[in-house]
Amino acid sequence: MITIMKHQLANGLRDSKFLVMAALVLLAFITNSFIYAERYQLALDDWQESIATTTEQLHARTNNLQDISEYAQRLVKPPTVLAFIADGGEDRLPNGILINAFVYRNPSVKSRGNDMFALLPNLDWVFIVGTLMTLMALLLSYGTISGEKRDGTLRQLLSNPVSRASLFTGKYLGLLMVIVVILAVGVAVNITLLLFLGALPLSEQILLAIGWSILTSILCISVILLLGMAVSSITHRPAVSLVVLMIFWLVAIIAVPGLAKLFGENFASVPTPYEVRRDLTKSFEDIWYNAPEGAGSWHSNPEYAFSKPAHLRAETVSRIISEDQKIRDRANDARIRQAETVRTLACVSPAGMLDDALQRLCRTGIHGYKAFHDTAKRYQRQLHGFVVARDRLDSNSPHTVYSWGFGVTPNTFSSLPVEFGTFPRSHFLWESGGLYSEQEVPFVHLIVFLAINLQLAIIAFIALACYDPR
Amino acid sequence: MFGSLFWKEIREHLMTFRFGAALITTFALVMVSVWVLGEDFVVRNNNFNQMSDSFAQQNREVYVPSQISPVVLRPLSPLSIFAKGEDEHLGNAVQISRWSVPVDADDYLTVNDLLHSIPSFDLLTIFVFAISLFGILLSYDSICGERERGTLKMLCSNNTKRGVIFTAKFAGGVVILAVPFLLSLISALLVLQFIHGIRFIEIQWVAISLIALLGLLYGALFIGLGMICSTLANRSSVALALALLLWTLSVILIPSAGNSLAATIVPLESTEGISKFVQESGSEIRSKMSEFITENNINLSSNGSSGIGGATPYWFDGRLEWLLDHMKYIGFYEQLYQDRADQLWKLYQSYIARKKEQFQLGSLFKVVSPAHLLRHSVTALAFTDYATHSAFLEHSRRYRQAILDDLRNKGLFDRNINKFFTRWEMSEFATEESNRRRQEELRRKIESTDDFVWMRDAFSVLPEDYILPFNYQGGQPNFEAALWPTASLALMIIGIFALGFVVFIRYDVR
Repeated sequence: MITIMKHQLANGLRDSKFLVMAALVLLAFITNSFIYAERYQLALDDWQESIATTTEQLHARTNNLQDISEYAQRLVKPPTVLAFIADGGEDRLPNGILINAFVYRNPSVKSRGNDMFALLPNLDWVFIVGTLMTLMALLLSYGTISGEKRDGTLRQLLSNPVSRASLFTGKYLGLLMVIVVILAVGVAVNITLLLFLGALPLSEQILLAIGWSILTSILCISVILLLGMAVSSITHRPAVSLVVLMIFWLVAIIAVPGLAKLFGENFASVPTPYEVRRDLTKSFEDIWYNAPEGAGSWHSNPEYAFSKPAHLRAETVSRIISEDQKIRDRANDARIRQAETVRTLACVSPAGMLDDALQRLCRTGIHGYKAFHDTAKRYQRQLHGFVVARDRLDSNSPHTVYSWGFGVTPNTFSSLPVEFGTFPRSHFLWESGGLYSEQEVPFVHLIVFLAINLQLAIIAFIALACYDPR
Repeated sequence: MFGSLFWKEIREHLMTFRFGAALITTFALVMVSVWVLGEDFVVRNNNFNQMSDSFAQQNREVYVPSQISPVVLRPLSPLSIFAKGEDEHLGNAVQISRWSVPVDADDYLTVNDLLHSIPSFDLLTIFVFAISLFGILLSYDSICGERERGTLKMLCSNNTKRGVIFTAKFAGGVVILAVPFLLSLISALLVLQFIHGIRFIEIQWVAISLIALLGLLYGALFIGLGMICSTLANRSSVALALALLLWTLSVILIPSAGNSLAATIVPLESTEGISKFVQESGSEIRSKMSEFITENNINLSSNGSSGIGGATPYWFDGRLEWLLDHMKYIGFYEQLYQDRADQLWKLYQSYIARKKEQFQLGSLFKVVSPAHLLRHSVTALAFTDYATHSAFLEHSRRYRQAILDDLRNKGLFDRNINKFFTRWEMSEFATEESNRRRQEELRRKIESTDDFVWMRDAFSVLPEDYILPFNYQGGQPNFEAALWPTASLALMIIGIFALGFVVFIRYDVR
């Protein structure tokens, strides 16, 4: 068995196909380092710039609690260090949120992405492993059995005292070793370059995520290898096994993720922006026109703030704002649900599953967006709590803590100065471990990958056991 | 001789497993996707019509010129079923506003921006991958396979020119590849026509036939590529590896890497500068406004209320001084905001120029990839590429300028500014009597309603021809933009054919 494995490994490493593909993969890994080093640097710049701007703007408003709490802060998602593993289309995902103590709005894209380009997969690990290396695995494995039969070597091999089980295991391990060697070299070069370019701040969580990513990648490639061997042991001519495998690859790796988007969009519906706008208008009109007498009036006179109509107004506006937020949240939840449905459907394909697993590990794509979204909400609650608590301390305040949104409504609550140090800041929430403070290891994906591996191994083995080498 | 070789090639291929597999796979993929894509388009189109009606209604409900802020729409292209292109994430509604120059379109239609991170799927995607892959699989052993079987020697020992053999094989391969492509394309069109009821107009049929032609050229290119590999290599497995390598490079790797590399080499500037300008100029204008109020001793409040010139609820107590103060004030800040819009547009222009530079660099990297050329030309034909979108934006910018010029010509920003936000003639304030009468009238309205008068209570709607119409001819395929990629594809085929020809002539058939 060991001999077969060594033989397979040596054969694989000497193969011209292998060398060319290996060069391609290595090139892709090197390109990846440069692309993502630059992208990380830009994202880091943007994040720091946004923090600096917000700090400056908030600092200028410390003399008035109302001003500082109503200032529209633009929260920007911290740079995703591990985007080089799973890009997840970060460029096109909202990474900026406009927020103050009262409203949370307009998730928008604020990146250096160029919307003129058609969206194509980026050169991340998901692409290199899921697309390039699976193709490579197919090319390495399509002829393992049927090819040896064509060359006539299979008969010789089996006439030796070698069990078919050890033949199978040896061949499988040999092929796997070939792939692992390329992956290891590629990853080593990639990570070294990234470290050298200063785009990979190492921490325990990040190292763990990288480790899990490598494991998942190997499991994914192993699925393809076993599939190749199974098809190769079922068919009798390598040309046929190749066509079968290439069609499988085309459907599974290229078509399924795209089809998943197409179907997912129709399975899980989301309200159109137009419908959201209509609901917003309707909810506003429902509350505003049924508001109690006097709620509509407003005076700039400070005395008015303590009157009954002012309190009615505050109550009405707060209701409008909270209903508003509910409608937006519902729409956002529906959007996230739909995107998750699409991702789950794509898991039918090994590449889709790899993509989803790595995105979970690397906190990119929809999972990263969710983490960002939740943090922003947490920050808003914290901010609102702070403003309410501050306002309580002011005996001259009418204590109607409300706002129409991003415009200042004077004389509704305390306007005393705030010490800047006590004011909650959004980026503090990210500081301990940033995006990666909560590790999410996709055990389900790993188990499914293992199960598929096992199944395919059994199928391939049975097919080989029944194979007629003549 | 050519004829019999050609037919032999086709007959042989028709029997093969790979031809059947290619036919079934392409057909199945196209059918499944076209079903969903057609449904999707019908839904989108309904949403679009609904939206378009509601905006038209909104555009009609304009009571004073200061409220003129129409939303203009870019119609959907039914050809987006073939190539979604950038249509999905660029949006197709622009709100024309006096205080900002349109830079982007709003997306009221494509619903889920979170899905923009996943590449879109359309018939073009299937064709880009399937045609090229099957082209290679059909042709990688056309020469060296025959050599391995020993038939090539016999073929060449006949009195047949090698050029004829090569051409016949090439032509046969192209025709064979055209079968699954055209069959699935025609079935897709039938499904769209008869099941989803999507009707294409004449010019779109021209575009569809051009797309079909481009697909054929693209397929022919990969047949040629496969044959070159087949001629260069002596063993079919080596030929296959070589062909797949070229395929991976040109179809998968270069298009992806081209974008990312361009973005790395020419990184975009941060938009922070623009946001900063928006914020700073906004507060600057506000402080100028309050300065103006104190300097000119303007009293804006009436009955404790303010807010006029665009706000829907309408307060007005009918005093001449009130009107004069507002005329001064609005005339002052209107110009400031319009100037700021122009300044902001200048900033955006340099940002967009940078984006274009990056885009062109990316296109330069990708120009060697036939897959990119196909994508580029088909999206241009389907009217879903970025150029179409930016033409629409340019059109809406000109429309905004036309509206501004029109308002300016009517003197609504200076001598007739009273009509800009009230529609009242100054002559109505001329006499004590008329002034008192209108005040009386408004007071009655104010008392009969709540605490303010709605604009729809105070005025009738502006006549429809008051606002300039937006005449944008959408849905015309962009033939010019498709021209050079088509030409380069054709040139590539000629080059590859010539190369293959030369290599085959020098080929050692033993």
